[in-house]
Amino acid sequence: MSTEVAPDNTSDTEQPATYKVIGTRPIRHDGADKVTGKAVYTDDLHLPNMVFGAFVRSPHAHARIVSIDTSEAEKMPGVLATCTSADLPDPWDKVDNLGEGCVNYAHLSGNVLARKKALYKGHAVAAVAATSSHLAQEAARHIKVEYEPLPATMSVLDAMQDDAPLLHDDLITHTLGDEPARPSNISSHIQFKKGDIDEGFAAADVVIEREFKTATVHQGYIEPHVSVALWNEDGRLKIWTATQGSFVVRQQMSELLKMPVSQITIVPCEIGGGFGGKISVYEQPVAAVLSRKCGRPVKIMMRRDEVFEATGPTPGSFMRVKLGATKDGKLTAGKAWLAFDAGAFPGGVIGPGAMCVFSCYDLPHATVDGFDVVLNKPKTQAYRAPGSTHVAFATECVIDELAEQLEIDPIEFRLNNAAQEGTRRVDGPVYPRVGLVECLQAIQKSDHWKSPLTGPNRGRGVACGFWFNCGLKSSVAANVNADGTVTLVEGSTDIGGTRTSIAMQLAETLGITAEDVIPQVVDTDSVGFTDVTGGSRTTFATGLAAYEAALDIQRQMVEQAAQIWECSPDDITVANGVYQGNGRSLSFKELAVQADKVGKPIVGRGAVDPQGSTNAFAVNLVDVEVDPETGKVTILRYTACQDAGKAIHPSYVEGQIQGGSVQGIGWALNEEYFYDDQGHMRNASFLDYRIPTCYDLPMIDTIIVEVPNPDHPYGVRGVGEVPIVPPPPAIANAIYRATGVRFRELPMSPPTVWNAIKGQNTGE
Amino acid sequence: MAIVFIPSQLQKLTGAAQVEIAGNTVREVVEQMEKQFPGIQQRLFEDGQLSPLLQLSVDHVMTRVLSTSVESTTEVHFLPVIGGG
Repeated sequence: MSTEVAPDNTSDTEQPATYKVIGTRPIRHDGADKVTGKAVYTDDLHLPNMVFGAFVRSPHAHARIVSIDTSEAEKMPGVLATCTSADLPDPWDKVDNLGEGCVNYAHLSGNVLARKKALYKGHAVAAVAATSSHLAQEAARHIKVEYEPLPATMSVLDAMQDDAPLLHDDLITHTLGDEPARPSNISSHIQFKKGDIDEGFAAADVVIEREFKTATVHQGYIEPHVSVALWNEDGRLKIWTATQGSFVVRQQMSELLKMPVSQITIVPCEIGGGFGGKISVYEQPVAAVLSRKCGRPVKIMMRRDEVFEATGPTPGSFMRVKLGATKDGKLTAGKAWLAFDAGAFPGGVIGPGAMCVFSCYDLPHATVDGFDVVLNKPKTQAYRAPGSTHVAFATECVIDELAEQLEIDPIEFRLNNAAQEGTRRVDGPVYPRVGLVECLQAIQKSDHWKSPLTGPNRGRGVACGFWFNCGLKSSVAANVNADGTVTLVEGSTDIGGTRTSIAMQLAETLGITAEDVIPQVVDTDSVGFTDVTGGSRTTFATGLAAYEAALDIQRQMVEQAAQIWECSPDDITVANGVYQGNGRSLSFKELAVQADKVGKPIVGRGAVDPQGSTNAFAVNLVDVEVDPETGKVTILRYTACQDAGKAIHPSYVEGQIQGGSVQGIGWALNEEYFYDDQGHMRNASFLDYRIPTCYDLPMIDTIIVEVPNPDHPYGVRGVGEVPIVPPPPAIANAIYRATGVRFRELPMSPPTVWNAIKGQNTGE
Repeated sequence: MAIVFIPSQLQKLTGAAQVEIAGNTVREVVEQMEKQFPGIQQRLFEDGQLSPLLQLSVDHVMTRVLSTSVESTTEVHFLPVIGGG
């Protein structure tokens, strides 16, 4: 079930506009290719003379690399090249902003192929190219690596201790203030302060402080990392790959291989999921070097265990959150202490985590301390609203406990403190118009909230979530064809249907149908720079570029109409795709046909770099039943509400909400990296790493709230990330009402729940 | 002129959580701030540009553009960079 609601408190400028294309549900342009299996993914590519690469990976969680001997592998028939970190240019300690977060190229190079030390189990140490993938795997086993094992540190709190094994001898904690003299595993310390927390907690009638932990989890995309590299004899490099951002791959390749971006072409193939995990490069530089060395195209596709062990999951965390409120349910102060694991190299998601921890509420006094901590796990990466899911689990559980102690309805308590226009976040900025209150009200009015939940071992929970969303750079070109259709060339890789949501904005602006737009995602030589598909930015920012391209086309069409009708462009009017002037009238299509015969080609361009956040809020409501004999939690009913600003294609908004919710449910109930005492992941397969399937879940009902974003012509906010944020705390709060036990560690898997219920019953 | 919100870890340089600083752009504001509070710019900038680890919030707009204009009521915040999935 899906419901779209306009907020009760819409201002005059927010009255829903009437659109012909936006808000409808056309069939996606790539739909036929996808459902018939004709869409081309990277692994579908088979270039002439192509060979296959395989990695040698560290069997140790932490070890010094004493030597690497590739000679035996190189003697094997069919083996064409080997590669170690010595084949990569010396890295430079340069920090670069990739639009969506930043990267240190020395760290990135060291993650692609380990240099002096292997820093996690599965860390790539060497690679080989051979005439078949099986031969490459076999040859990899003949590369001899001598290691000196070192003690590993696997938990964020252990890694912060003074006597913890150091991963990097030169890592000094980065802070804006005074930096410590000694190296440690704490790579950065972030701090925010607002007001006076002593005064704030003194004013509280109830104060609750709790500790929380979350496990390392993976984005779980179905398609493994895969690339084909072709290093031509003219020095040009071409890479076909599954990526969220072809230009960002080009940027990373340019820095790692020290070659100009103009010598590199990245071709983005169709992508089988990313969720933040397909922004960093892994196999691409290695495939390129192997191709250069053997003179043939090289394909590398990771196995599933390699994806789990050696790409970028989201961090495990330890969090302590304290909140105070008055008897009448007003929050007075908050304090958070957050430690996130960054994996083996600095630069995790503690920044946004620290910024999001109290972002749903109007807190007059607060402090937040956040720590980025390296340890012997793979380098973490973004995962839908990175950092926000962790901190929402902590804050929303404490909020629920406060509401309960104060005997206030949990939604009313949240409404009483909800962030809204004018609220100053703890990290400083003041919100413009946002839609959290409207989302809470929509849940209050839902059939789900109004339907009582009955039966034993059942409970209902609610939670809120926030994510910034962003703008960044996007480019499109739009060519008007002789039949009145428009070919739209764009640089945003299409993960969740953005070809169509962008095409719809072009179509709406031009007054044509979505089907009359032919969207094409092209390589880095064929369109202007475009940042990653991530940050919930693509429908917002690339849609804005399409809007600008449409206005550009419209201006040229007016000039053509004036030429045809022998009048001034000032005499032409345009409305709903109909051009009128000099007593005549033509539709866009009719005019395009005539213009093709008499005028110059019509090509629209859009290049944008919108600044700012579009600020997405979500509220989830969930009913669960807990089996007291097994600890298994069954989701009975789930309603996810989100402010989309404007839903361009409601089916895709619903799909993003449902997909994000399911990932959050998996994070809440099952997903985690199981590490043994050697720092080895023991569940690196989809059989043992338990992602929920359709058999585990009911239909996820969605409610789309539309509080238009004032900084977009159609009000778009972006939708892809915040849906993952509320599920873990909403489910934890529901399980509490079903069992009487408050869970403060993820995942809340059957053994954990069963043990807690058993402990409650036996008093243990 | 702008109202600069000083990151808490730098407040011992300024002695205040917020300061009003003269300037027509963010860059001018930071340069003026350095004159008033020596050492603060090197904490925020790298090679003459905003540190890649930081972003700006100018009023409610996140940006890295130092030529962004400011007025007497403009709020300038220095925040960690964020990435999305």
